[in-house]
Amino acid sequence: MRIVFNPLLCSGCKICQQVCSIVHFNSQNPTKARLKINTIFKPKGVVYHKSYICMACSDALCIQVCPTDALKRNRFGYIDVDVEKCIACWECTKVCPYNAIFMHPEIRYPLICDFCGGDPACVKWCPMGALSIRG
Amino acid sequence: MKYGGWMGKILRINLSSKRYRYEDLSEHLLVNYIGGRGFAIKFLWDELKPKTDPLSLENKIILATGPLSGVFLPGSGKLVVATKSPLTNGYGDGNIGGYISTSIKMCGIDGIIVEGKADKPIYLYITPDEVEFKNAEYIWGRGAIETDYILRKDYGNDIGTLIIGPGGENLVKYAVVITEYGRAGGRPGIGCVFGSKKLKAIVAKGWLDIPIADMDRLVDVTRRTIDFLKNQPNYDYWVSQGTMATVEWSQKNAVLPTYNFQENVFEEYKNIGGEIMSKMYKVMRKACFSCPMPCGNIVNVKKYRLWSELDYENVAMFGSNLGIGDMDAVSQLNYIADEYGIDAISLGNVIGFTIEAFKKGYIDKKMIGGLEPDFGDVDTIIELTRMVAYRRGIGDLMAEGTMRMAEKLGGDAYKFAMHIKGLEITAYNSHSAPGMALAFGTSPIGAHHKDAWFIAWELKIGRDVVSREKVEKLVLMQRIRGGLFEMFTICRLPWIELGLDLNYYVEMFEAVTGLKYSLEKMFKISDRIYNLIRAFWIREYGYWSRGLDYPPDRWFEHPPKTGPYKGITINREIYDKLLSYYYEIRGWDENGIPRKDTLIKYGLENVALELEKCGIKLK
Repeated sequence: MRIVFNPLLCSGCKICQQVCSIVHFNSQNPTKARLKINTIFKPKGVVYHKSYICMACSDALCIQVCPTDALKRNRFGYIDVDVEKCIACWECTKVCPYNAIFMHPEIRYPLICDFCGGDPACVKWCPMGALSIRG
Repeated sequence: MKYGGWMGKILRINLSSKRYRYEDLSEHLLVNYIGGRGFAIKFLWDELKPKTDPLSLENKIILATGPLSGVFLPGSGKLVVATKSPLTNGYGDGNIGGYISTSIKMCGIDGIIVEGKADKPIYLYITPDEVEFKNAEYIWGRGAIETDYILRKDYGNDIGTLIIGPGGENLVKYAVVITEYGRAGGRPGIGCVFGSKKLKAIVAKGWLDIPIADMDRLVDVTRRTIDFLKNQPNYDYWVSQGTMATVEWSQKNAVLPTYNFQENVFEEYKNIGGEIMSKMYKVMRKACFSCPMPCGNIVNVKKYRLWSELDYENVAMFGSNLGIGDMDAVSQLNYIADEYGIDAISLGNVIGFTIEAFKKGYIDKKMIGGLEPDFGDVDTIIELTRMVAYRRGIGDLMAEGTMRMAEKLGGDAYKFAMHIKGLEITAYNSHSAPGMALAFGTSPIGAHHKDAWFIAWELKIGRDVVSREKVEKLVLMQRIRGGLFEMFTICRLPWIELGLDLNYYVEMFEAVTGLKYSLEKMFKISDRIYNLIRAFWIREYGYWSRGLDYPPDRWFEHPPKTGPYKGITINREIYDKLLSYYYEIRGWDENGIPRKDTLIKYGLENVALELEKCGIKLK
């Protein structure tokens, strides 16, 4: 199963990021999210919404590169972080091909999508239907 | 902080000394002024010396969020930008969306006060840790959208921005601040004050939590509001057209400003309407932070190879008001105005006024550099826009706004200079709508529809109705739009466009802050803010008279020649009667000055004392 993003439906409202931070940290803080939507533009040029979402890669470079085995694949194919084992070396954030592993100045471990126990809050809350689950 | 919602601090930045400090906000301020516009007017009243020159060192820029800004509820991505206006010399504020409001709050502050003046162009980079004063010489002179792009290359995309373009740099009196690809705010010249302080941009990058009193309750009420909004029958229509559907609506109801407000219907309205925009041009939806009903229409203009963000006001002012029935041209003009950082509404007014003044002989060919501007003449209009942005030739006069232009041109030019108190009128031509005219006349920043988009209610009540009840409705609308939403500093559109009940907001306020306020209590705060804003205007002007709350003579004397309401104008006596009702309901005297007991009722005793000290007689 994978979370899929449709940029044509997205409005860039970041409700997904907010619910992510609320579900995981009980915090009102879109920068504590495990996914990110940015509106990208160039002067006179195109404007579009870009997503940074864990693709649950089959080869999961983040797991491979972790020196302390803090990252484990969970039963949904996404990643759980063992915060006790994590030493905050940030190697995983560097290898992620989708830039979908996030750092927060106040949190000493990487923020990676864990699929919310099978029912991702971002998908459930997206008012535009831009996020969906496939597979 | 013992309450949720507020961060409890304000950041004071002095550009002259390049120092900054954080100040605690008193509980008195929070519970009596709530935030946003409430904070803005309180700081301006307390801290500006009377009759401060808006472009001097002493003027201040206030950026203020409210307790509901940046929070998980519909339309929370709003920020109030305020200052003493160089356009009106009175209180000026604007409301800007996007990610800047949230970013400011996540820096641990509810607002920013900018003081002093930099000697060289600078921009501010604000994080929870520090404020950096950065050299802006490399971006000075560049367009606002271009600058946004350059700054994002350095700081990434997780930032909020407020940027001025060449308009603000060159002190165009109606320059605005721009964020995120053409969202503008601060019509009464906030960008001009940025420019006078050599402040090119403010960039905020925050990451702190915003405290919430009761998160479960907030999530619950937000779930219900989003479901409510999405289930409204006109939701899909709204998301496809946003405010652009108003073009057709205004045409139907004969309030579409056309040819500098001479007519109120436009034969080519379909070419600039919401229908054609959504079918032929729109390529993307764009929402502010936390908004489930995005109104941003990004259009792709293939003819000119550019993208632009459209909404009704801009399109009507550049389209019908300048006689341009061509979506490509209007989008291009809109893009140029955003890039220059000039208010599209005032610019549409100023150019319309210039064209009419030229045709009537107030401006000769020599004065306008050999141009022969006419309605519908896109190339000349673009040239005039450039002249305004760089204050070249007649652009130097045009950059002063229609009020000062009319003073300079003399004669009867003032009769068709479409402004109130110096701020140009927005896109509702009100020859046949005295209630809407009154809404413009009594708006606390000069002619703007933000406080009371009364036209929709007036059509229901009846345009001809002249009654106290009608004016009571107008005051109610000001209390909600200009008071409630401006002090919470969130978007009014879920309420006005899709009918979200106000009681939801009471619930949101309680969930976020932990304070239980009834609507009546909030309206009282809203009235306090209105009275203080009015007192500010009076203090700055040194007097007040009914004439200052009057719309331009065109609405009384120049009947439109076409459309279902041709030949109709507002009767002066009727307007005067409505204005008297308004003053009565507000507790102001016959000259529009708050009565002493009114000020005391709202806890503004000191304000009364200061007004009296300034030589104002209070009744």
